[in-house]
Amino acid sequence: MESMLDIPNVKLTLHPMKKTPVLDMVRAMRKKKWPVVTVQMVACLLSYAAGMMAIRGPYYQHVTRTKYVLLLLPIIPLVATVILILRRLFKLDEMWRKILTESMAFAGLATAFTCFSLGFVPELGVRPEWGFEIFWVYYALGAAWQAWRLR
Amino acid sequence: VEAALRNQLRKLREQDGLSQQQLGEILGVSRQTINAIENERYDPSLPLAFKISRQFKLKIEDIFLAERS
Repeated sequence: MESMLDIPNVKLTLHPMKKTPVLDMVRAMRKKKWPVVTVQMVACLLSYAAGMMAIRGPYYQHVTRTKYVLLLLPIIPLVATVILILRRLFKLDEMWRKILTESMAFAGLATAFTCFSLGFVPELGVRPEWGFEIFWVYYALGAAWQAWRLR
Repeated sequence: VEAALRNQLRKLREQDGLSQQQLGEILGVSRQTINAIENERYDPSLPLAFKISRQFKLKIEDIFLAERS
């Protein structure tokens, strides 16, 4: 039996999955062995969370002599996270490095402006501790915009 | 006066029969970077411009041209 592919003058056109900047970004991350870095980053952030819980817990309130040393518990994982991010950033391809550093700069500025402006209007209900989450939202927006612009 | 950077990268790459992926691997950058340079959305750094010129055995100014707009 003749299949569709054997019929003369019939062209089989394949429609590949539409490429998007976000998909390209995910592919680039997978190629660059991001999972290892991701595991390291998750470990750092979990250590940070544990450190924060430790210094907020009842034990910390009763400690007197080692109180200030315990403050290092959340700070050390945070420093490690920053080092991880910077090391990863400098290993990236120059265009991706530009995209990610510019997104970080944009996110930092946008977060600062948001916190400064909305922070003065307490009726809006914006709390200062949301700064971290706001930063990542701006960072994702900035990275997606840059990746789309340079696609 | 702003200068728009034009380039011959696509033409040269196609003359050599290379794909964007292959050229990216040779130059140590991603396919997306090659695509962005070819479409004149991204201006390469000077070290990358030198790598490109060496790859095609041409001078930088033969590949990249700054046009005044």
